Amino acid sequence: MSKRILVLFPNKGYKESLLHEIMLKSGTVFNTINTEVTPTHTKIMGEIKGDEEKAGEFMRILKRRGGIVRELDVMMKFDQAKCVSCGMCVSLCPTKAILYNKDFSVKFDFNECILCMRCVENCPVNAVSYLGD
Amino acid sequence: MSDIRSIDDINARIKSGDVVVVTALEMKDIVAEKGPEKAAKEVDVVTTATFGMTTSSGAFLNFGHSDPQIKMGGGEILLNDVPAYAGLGSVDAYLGVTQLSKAHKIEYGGGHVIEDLVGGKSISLKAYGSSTQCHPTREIKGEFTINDLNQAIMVNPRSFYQRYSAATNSSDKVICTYLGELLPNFGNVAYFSTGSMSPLYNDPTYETIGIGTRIFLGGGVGYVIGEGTQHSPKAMSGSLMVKGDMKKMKQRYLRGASIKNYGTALFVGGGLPIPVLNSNIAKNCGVTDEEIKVNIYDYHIPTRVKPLVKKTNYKELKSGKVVIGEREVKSSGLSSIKIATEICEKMKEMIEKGEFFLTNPVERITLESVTKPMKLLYVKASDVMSPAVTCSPEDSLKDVAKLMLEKKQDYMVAVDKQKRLQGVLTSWDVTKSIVTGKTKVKDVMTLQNVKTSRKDEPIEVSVRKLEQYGVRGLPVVDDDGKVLGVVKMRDVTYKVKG
Repeated sequence: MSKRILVLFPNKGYKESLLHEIMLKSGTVFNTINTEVTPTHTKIMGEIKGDEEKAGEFMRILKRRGGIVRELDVMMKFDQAKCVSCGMCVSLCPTKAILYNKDFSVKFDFNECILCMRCVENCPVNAVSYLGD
Repeated sequence: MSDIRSIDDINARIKSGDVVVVTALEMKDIVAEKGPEKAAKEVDVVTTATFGMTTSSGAFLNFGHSDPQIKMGGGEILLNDVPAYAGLGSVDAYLGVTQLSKAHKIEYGGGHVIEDLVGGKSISLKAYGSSTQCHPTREIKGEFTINDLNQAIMVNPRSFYQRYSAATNSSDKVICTYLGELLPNFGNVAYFSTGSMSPLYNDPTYETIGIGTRIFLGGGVGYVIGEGTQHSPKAMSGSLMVKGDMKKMKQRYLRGASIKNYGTALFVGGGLPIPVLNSNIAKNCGVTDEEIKVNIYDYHIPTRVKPLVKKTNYKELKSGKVVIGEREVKSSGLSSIKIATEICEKMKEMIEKGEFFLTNPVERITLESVTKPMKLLYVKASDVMSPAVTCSPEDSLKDVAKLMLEKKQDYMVAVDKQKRLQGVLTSWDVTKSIVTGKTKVKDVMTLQNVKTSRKDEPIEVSVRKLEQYGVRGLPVVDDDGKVLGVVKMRDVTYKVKG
């Protein structure tokens, strides 16, 4: 099982070794997908590999150590009722986060998402939204 | 072909509850398995459908008279801030789906107003008219819902549009088109239509479809009222004009759409029942996705005629991957196969329950009309090009240099005996030859990727190419590669200066 999260460390709260330390403590593997360092914060997007309990533990420790944790499947919202299954987003998605079901309805797996926002920006009926970070 | 049943026979069977209705997709399997003769014997009606983004759609609305009366006709009408066409009677309007809201632009347009109306929402009305003796009011403001209107009649000038081309992008930049965003370097392929489920592919000769054909439109009942705009049946690119009572329609089948950096539109769900009167009709309904050819064009060229990238079919497009050259490119449609399938099922159910009867068309749809491009007064490459000064690739550079001086040319076109383009040679190339010691034209001329122009290419496009590729000239070539002239920046500036 894998779970994508976005972690924000305000100011200088982040040290390189911190993630390794938490990985050891929670018994998970965390793969960094993208890191953004600014004068005000460090933002890391990554994927926790491990069962639900261990992933939960990983996020709990992160929060305790000053990280702000956002789960991608909570931050990205897909409104099935609004969707017309036109499929415009399917070929725009750079990963496997958006695929067709067999009946040509559209399914989202935000644990594959890299927050490129193409689906959010292009959906003609505003069925996908980003709840912010 | 002699008919085995009539539309009246079918209606009698609908009434008695014996009618056999299948969806377009079910019919494909039946025809493939049993053949058209047997399929025609077994099936009375085939339901076909589409759910796609439309731009030539809209609605006639009648608001009723105010007291004292206003003459909005000839004035200005705003519905939720979206202008509607007011050049009609005093309280009539036509609202088109691509009309943008004055304040919100492409986030909200005519298509969204129609969705909101059908969804039962309250719409604001602002209108300005000229004060006359019988219609003294100049300005009105109001709120209304669809139930307050006398009529809300959807009339779509182009519906069930049969043929679309698919789009991709070879350039290194993202482009925004009516098919949505096209990603650089063949990043994706976008296409329209539901393919073999689409109504007009199932009756391409309009044997059963005509004026008066009853259809499913936006969740209610509608009628075909004639050929649609750009109807071009010979090119398998037919379209129908349709109407329907919007008061009976449903939001699920009419959805406002915003296409990024392009505009607004309306997703329209439409269904068309095809009566299987004979085995030829059954055979036509057997058409498969694989049999319907689609061309994928490169949309980074803004001319009407775009470079063809690949000839494919709906089977490949719907598979989600298209092979272009060496790579697999993701493809997705903009017509909902999911909702079109739902409409096919829904119509089937309505007919089986005796809620939907078929009609005999009162007139056939023309099979002759052909779509022509717009006639415009524009400057073409052939209007500004100068005669090409040519040489042969085998010529010696010394002779050619002499000729360039004589003719005061810094740009030469190398051609073969048939005047076909072989390469281009500039004074810069000649300069280089002095350093490299090359002696023949063919050794120094530009051979590959020579940018060219066509004689009826708008001059704006040629200028864009000159700038984009930083070249001195563009040989103008015909379909056989024969050089007709050269367009140079100097020719363009002379022409503009007069």
